[in-house]
Amino acid sequence: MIQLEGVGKVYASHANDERPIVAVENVSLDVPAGELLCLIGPSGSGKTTLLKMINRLVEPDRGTVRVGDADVHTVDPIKLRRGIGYVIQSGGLLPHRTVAENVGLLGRLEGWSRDSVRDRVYELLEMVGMPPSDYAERPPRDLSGGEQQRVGIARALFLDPPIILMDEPFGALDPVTRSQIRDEFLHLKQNMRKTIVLVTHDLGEAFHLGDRVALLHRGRLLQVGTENDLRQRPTDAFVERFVSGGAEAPVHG
Amino acid sequence: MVSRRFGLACLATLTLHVWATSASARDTLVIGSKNFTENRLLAEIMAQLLETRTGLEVERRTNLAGTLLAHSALESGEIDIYPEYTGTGWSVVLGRQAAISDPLRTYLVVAEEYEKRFGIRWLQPFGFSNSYGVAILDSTADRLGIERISDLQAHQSELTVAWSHEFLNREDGYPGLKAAYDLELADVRGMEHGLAYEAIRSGTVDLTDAYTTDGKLLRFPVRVLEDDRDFFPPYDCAPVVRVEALEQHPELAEALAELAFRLPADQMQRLNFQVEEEGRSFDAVATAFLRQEGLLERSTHDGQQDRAPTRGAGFLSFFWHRMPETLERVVEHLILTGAATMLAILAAVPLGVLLSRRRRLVAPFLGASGVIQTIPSLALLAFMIPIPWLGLGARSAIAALFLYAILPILRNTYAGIREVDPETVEAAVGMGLTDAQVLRLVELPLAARTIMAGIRTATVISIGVATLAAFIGAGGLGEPIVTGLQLNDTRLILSGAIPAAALALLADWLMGRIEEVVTPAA
Repeated sequence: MIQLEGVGKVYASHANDERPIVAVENVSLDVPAGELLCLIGPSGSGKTTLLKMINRLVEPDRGTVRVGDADVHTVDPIKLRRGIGYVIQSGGLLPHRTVAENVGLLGRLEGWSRDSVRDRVYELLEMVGMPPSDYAERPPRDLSGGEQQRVGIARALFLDPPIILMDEPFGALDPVTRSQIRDEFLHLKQNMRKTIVLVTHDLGEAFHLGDRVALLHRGRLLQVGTENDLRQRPTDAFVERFVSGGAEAPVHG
Repeated sequence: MVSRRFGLACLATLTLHVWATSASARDTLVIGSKNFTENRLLAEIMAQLLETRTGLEVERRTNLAGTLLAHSALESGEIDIYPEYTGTGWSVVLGRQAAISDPLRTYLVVAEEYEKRFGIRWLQPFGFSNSYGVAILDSTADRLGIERISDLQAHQSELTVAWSHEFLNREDGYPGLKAAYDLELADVRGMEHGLAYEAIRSGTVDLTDAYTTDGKLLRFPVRVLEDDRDFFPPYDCAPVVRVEALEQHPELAEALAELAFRLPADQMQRLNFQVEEEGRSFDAVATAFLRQEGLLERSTHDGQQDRAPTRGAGFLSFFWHRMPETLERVVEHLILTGAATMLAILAAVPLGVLLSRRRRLVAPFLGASGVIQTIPSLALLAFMIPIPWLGLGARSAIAALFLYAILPILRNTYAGIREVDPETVEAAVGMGLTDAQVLRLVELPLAARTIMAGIRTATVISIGVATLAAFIGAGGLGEPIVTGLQLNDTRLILSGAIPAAALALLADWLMGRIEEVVTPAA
């Protein structure tokens, strides 16, 4: 479903005397349809950069990215992104729009009728456990962090995209809410056949959610596999330390 | 959508209005004047005479700030007639350095040169010469024994001098005087002419320049020093008219010929006195003069009562009497500021959006609009006049106000967009919104409060600066302020200044309310 082939990205350094920063270096990765892949690694490992290459928020300097069968470089980015749900840590809701308007935004832009947008919004709000009668007309600032994140997920699902990208979706939540929403999300996921790439820096979360886990370090992909693979057959000393929680493990947990 | 259409409609109406005021049909005659009492009064006299004698529509463009402005307005056809002085034509317009003292020769040379170079004709003179003079406080003159200009040399360090700005700079003013009398006065400053007399009376100033027909000479304790080296050229006053206008309307010259030699110097000085010191309106003094000379039928101007009460009346009753004119001025003022602000919004908001997309342009554009902000308002107004199509009047004023309004709106649009939470924008882009959709649905609504604050600042600044528009004949509430300064009439100044201040406060309050309405609850 998603294929990365030898992709790389180098950022010019801000300070003149420093060398350019290598964000991602020669990463190849295959995400089959229906899989939930977690990208994990310490801060600055390039996991978010890699994620953004899939919906072209970041253009790689080298290599190719394929979604479906098409090289994303040849696809109109707007069309590409409307087929890929996108969820970020803060939720990214429009503060001046109601919950219903946020969730139904893409529907309006795609020219849906008012009624069909509303029906779909209500359906999605029910699905993420937020009764529309209570929540539809409220502004985002009235919601808790967990509720905002659920709205963010509902919004990403609006056009029923086959792929969803999630950038630390549960990172800003308190531990209790986080595990609760995570479980709801897993439950939700079982009923939908979506290909999901999820960035996290929390190893437990990665193993808990991911069908497979891809471990990145300093822009390089060290290993891809199941929890078992990484624990039993680490390909590298860093992987071994990271998985056992010894090395530069989760920094801001 | 509705509000956008409404905005366009407003703009269209304003544009039409501006068009209509300046591009009127050619059977309208435009009479101009410089910004001092005598010149304006002569313009009014000519206007009333032409209205009764020719049936032409007469438009008045009084209070043009200085000779060069009036001359270039005449040359470019913005105005058709204004009263000019031979000596001024000689030295200021034609730039002659040589001294000249024969009045007839001056008139003939100036008339010939004007016709040849500018296509402007000098009609027959009014009959007086309003020469420059040096006026001195009586007590100072007595104490130091000064009677002639050459006596000043012995007291150069003791005298405080206030020249009018024009005198300070023109060749037949202080620069020439300095050379002719070998003067090096120690304490010289520029001052508005009307204020210089007050300064003389209060004793803070000893010397100022004066016009020999100045009505104020009759009231203040001053005398005019003898020009013992014949420095000042003759300043015989006559109407200067575009030849083209004369050819189009032959009856023009015929009517104005009736004013030839009707106004000897003492008569002119009395008329000036009536306006400046007795507080009568230009309109009324002009009418009375024309009637007295038998040039105006009693019946035609009987409706024109002298509305302004004399100086003794209180400010409130004065203000009340002027209410209809004040309201007209308020409307003019609103049109100037409204059009300028609206155009500035149309230009600066899109430009601010562009800057938020092209960071490289930020420094040059914000820098340039900042530089414009530092140009003194009057200078900026003057810069607009030579620009084709702008010319004298409302369009130039709107252009200058527009340039002033750019910076606050541009800066706030840029800043407002930049302050929008980048995560919100990234989420929107990641969802598949186009750049235009991000702008319309995310950035502009969230920047609305900041942008509105910029528009509010721009509006309030415009209302203030627009009071200067009167200097280039664009009307507005500056008109009574400028006239009041000339006439030394505080009530007149206040009758423009108070509504202008009230308008600024009202606009500020109104924009505050609009700000609340358009700003999304965020």
